[in-house]
Amino acid sequence: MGLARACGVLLALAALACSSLETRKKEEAQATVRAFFTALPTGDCKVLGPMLATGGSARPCEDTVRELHEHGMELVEVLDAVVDGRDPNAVLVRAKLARDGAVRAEPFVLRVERQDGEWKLRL
Amino acid sequence: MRKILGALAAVVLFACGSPSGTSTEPGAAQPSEGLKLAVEPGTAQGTFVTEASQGSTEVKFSSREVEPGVYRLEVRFNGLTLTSLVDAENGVSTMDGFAEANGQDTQMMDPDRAVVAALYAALNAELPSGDAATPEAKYLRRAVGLWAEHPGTVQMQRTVMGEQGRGYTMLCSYAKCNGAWTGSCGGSYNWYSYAKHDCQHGGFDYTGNQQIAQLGNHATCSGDEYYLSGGVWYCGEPDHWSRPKVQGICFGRCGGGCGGDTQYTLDATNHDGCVRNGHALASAYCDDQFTSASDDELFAPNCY
Repeated sequence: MGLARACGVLLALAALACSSLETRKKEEAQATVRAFFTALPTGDCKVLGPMLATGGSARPCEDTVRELHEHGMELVEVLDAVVDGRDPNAVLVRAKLARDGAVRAEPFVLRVERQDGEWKLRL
Repeated sequence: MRKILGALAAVVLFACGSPSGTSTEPGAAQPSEGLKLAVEPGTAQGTFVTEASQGSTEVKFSSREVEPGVYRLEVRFNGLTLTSLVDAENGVSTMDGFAEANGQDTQMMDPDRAVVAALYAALNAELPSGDAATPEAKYLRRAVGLWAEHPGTVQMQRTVMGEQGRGYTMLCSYAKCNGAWTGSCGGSYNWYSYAKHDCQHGGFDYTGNQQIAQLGNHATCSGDEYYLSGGVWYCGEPDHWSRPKVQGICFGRCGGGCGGDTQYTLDATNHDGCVRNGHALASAYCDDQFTSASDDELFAPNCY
């Protein structure tokens, strides 16, 4: 009986720890998206660059920022976030974005990845 | 106490750890490359293994008629499950994609699109074209063609509804030139104007976002299209020129390149006008065109 209770407590603690870890990931990823779009109008890649994921298909910060400016992209609202079911180091943030002032009806799925211990937006 | 903490850490690591995709046991025989397809009344299913350069990824797929005119599709690879329920009679489809290990949301990445595009090419090579394919095989091919172009910024779970005149507009007549669906136009073109998109360069009315296109299967050059410059056809794609004339690799056809179906529609033409105009296939700037063309690809009839 004592062992069963201990196992139950252990599992409950594990579930709690796992849930809070996932919640923290989602909050940090959403904060990264908000921080990037807040700083976007400055166009300063010294600030924006460290918030962008590198490697893979990622382009230089200057190119990404120039395109976003040309497009007049703005963050309207972060809707929600989920941890990528295939990659625990990536969070998919659903967000409403506006282009040249027009809000797109369909939300964008923005990928935020943990690189070098920081959450970074992949654009 | 230390033992309990150790056990707790192990359980947390296990519970919150990295979900694994399809794994191969060491020493297990690698499946042979290529497509294995079985088409029987009511089902089309099989496996596909990509080339070694694509990691010899194994894909399992199936399409089953679960009600008259309703097809359940499934494609699984790399820990990703893609599903769709296509109600062909009513022009309604639900599509989804999730992690096989835990059912959570995931995202189509470049390597995923490459695998699905390879499967699409294999299905096109194996299956009869157009309506000669069984309905199960045809809707599988169409959905696979759609997933092969799915941009990462578009949610995997979505509903696609198709209704001719509202959802999609057929452009079959523009896919013919010189009186034929295929073969050289012989200088006798049937221009459609304009294929158009919007992007960072401007809106739909900006001439750099417009192309004058000969739709249809009439030319190809090293897997690319042709564009006219100074009276000469060049192989490649112009990048936001002002209303260039373009043709080749089945411009305006649903699915990538010259897929096995022969649907030429307005939204597919605009999508080609975006992804073949200086934008990558999965460019967020072509999201709107992709979403608009989705019902065309699933439900529009074949032109021939």
